[in-house]
Amino acid sequence: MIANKLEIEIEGRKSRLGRASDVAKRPQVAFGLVIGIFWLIVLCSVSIWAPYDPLEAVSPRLLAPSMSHLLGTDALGRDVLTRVLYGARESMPIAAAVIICATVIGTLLGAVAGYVGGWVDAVVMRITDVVMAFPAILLAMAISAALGPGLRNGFIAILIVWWPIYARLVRGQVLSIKQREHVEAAISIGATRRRILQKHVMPMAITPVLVNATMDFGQVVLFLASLSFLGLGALPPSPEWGSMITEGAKNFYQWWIAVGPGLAILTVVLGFNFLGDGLRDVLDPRSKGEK
Amino acid sequence: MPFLLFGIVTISFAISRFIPSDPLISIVGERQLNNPVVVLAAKQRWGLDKSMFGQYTSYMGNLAKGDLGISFRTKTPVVGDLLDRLPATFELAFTAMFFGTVGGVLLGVLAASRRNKLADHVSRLFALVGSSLPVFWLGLVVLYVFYARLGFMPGPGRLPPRVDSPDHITGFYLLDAILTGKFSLVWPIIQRLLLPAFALGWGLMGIISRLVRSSMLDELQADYVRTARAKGLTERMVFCKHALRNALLPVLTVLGFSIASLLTGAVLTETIFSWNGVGSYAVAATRSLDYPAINGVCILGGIVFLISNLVTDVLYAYADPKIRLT
Amino acid sequence: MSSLLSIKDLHVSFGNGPNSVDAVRGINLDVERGEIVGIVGESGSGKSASMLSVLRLLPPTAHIRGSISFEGKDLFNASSREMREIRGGKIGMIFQDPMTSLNPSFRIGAQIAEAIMLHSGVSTKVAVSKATSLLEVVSIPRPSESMSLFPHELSGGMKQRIMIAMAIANDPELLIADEPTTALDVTIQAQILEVLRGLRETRQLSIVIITHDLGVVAGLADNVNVMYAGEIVESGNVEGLFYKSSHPYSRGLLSCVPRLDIRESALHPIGGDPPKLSERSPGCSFQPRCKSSTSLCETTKPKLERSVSSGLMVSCHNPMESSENAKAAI
Repeated sequence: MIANKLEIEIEGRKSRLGRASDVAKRPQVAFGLVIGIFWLIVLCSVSIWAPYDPLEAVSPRLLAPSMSHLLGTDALGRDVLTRVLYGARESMPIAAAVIICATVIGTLLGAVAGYVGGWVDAVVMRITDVVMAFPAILLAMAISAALGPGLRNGFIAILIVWWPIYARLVRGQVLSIKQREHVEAAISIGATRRRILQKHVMPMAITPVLVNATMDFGQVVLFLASLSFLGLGALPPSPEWGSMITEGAKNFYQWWIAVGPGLAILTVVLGFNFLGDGLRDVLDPRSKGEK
Repeated sequence: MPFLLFGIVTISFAISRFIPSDPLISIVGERQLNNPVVVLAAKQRWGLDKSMFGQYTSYMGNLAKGDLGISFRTKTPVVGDLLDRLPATFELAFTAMFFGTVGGVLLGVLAASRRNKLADHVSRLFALVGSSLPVFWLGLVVLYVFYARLGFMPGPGRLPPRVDSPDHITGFYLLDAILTGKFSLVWPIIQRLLLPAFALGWGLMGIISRLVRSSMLDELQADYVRTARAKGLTERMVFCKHALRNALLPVLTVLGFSIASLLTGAVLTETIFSWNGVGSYAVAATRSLDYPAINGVCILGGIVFLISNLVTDVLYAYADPKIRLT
Repeated sequence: MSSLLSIKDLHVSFGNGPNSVDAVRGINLDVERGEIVGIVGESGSGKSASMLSVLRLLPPTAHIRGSISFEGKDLFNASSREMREIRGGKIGMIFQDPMTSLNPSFRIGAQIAEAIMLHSGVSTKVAVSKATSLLEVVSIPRPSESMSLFPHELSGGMKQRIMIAMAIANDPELLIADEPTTALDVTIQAQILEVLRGLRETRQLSIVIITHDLGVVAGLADNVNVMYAGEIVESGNVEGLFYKSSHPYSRGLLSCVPRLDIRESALHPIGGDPPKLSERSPGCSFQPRCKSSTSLCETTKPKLERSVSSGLMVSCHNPMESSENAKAAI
């Protein structure tokens, strides 16, 4: 009996790895992996190999792209390409922090709300309802305006806007898993609520959270860029992609200033979207993905 | 629902009162800050001399009367400011919704009918890219390409330069131009709507086309499709008359929620296109810490969300025969 | 050859390569005018696939070969346009699950009128009145009011009658009924069969009724074909099959039916499972489950030949004695 169970578990794990390598071969997922790895490398090492300093004026202003400046220079004479690469250091760590915090807070609240039910559930749901009723940008703008510009306040603003999504997601998952038989069985043998939540409910609920978190990473980067574009979030002279696009808007005819950051954002959003899809297929191939 | 409304207005209030910097600066100007008479008068006028709770109660009281306060920046009532600018944003949002929906349905049907062939992959990629681009960047790009470089399209702004708006009937320039007989304005107005509406609508087009595609593929598995074929219908009629009709139901729900995201997009794109709507008002308000205006815009956003939910529910109930009759 | 429908050596398979499935393995079937032909078999016997191929309603992964002719004309090679004219025009078809076979978003009157307008160029008004009279033919109460109902407002039995109305709207020569009563209650079943019988009387309609239920066949069909694993193993008139069948499978089917008049302690299922349709064996497909099998049965496929004793066509090396059957079957 036990030998059988072990065998099945090992087989399960093997096939998941096998599945992962199959999924990774698909073109979209491969693209996502390449993008993810690329930006990770940039994030960690750009200061070593970047051609110029992102904050220093190194050449005449507003130069068109050339061999020495592949994306030209901006209004202050800084190399645009370097700034685009350094931009990853502005937005991606913050985005990761937002995702992690939003996931943790949202999961905690959502799990408790879903499992315990009653007035706890009602309170949490009401709060998420109200927060989600505002168009995200407006809420984030208002909060950023209240707190003042800067990446730290941008982080808080986005976190406040984002956590309800995970709370709702996890609550929904917990509610449906709660009904299943193995939970009933655990209750009948006297397991405490906390133990049931931890060992039986959460492992199943986690998958959509992970998938969503991966796909949301790109969306948070985009959102942060939007805030910076509006003058909240990142402050000059930091090379955040959104504020670079604002600069690009001011120097409309010098197209090279805005092109780089926009494309950078596009690759991040697309790449992590694909990664999330791939992750979903590895973790739960039964779920309805793209057909 | 009523709780939601209450929550929205309270949170807006709370946020706008968190602004650390002294709003008095924007009200009276730096120079006058030392003049106690002026400062006191301003405080009294704007209610800044009361306690936080006192301010909240007068806020709620005013709200009940439909008064959102007076903008620090424009010195005119916020409600009036918003009402003035609402038509511009709505005109833009509706046009974007039109583009997004029609384009999305067409793309989705195309992708479903040519499943896994080139047309399918291309349209899915197109849709995906649309949802992944920063909308303000897209606005800049299309403006640059079609206006600055190719000269096909006019520049930013709702009207040609030095041209007066048509007489105000609805505030929708297009409608007003038609209603007041200024037909020469119709085409220029439409032209100027195209680029911003496209930038704004592409994201929606992406979402709808993916939804229509998967919804169509689901419906095509249904038994009634086999019945339709057995009746002798052409593939096209099976597709467009029978399957599509049922596949479009989920689209209605998405449309309802898209109003909020179109508003978001408007906030980001109106400044680029010099569009004098609620979006650019919100941006200006945030930049100048104009908290009545910020407050007003937030409340507006929440109300738009509530209304769009209601409208979606009603539309869906009407469209789905199973619900309509209960 | 004046058969209305003539199918010769029909083969239907799905998929390619080693995993392909042979659903229909060479069958011959004829339907005369005004005749009701039954096709009986378990799920997976190929009975539905064979008739779906007549109207070309199989998915694109299906490979069909053989000859199908209708009213003397080659149907197998007909153009798509000709097929569309025939579907719902000269040949109507109804399906198993009435709950999902009607479009939920359109009123039933509109769906029937659509079928009418498709094949005759009449105006909407004429189509609607014709549809209303069709509802009367299939015994739908209050026809003119029922026209504006949506499918979800009707019961299963009524929906199936609507399906029949749609299928006969253009006075077809042939109606193919694919398990029309399987999803319905027994009492409703009887009503549907009554409708079908009436249609044969009044319109000289030929019907092919596909079912796994012998009771349905007994009550309705003139001639019956028993299918197993994609082949017809016995065929002939319905009385002959019930009283004089000699194929071990047919006999097995007949004795499966629980009896109310004879006290028996055990049921008599046919042991074993039907074969996987992706496998092909050189011998008889029923052989693994057959109590009368011999070594010949394993190596050589039997052919469908007329049995002298029963008068039915049987495909068996070792057919059973027909006398044993008489008492058991009634």
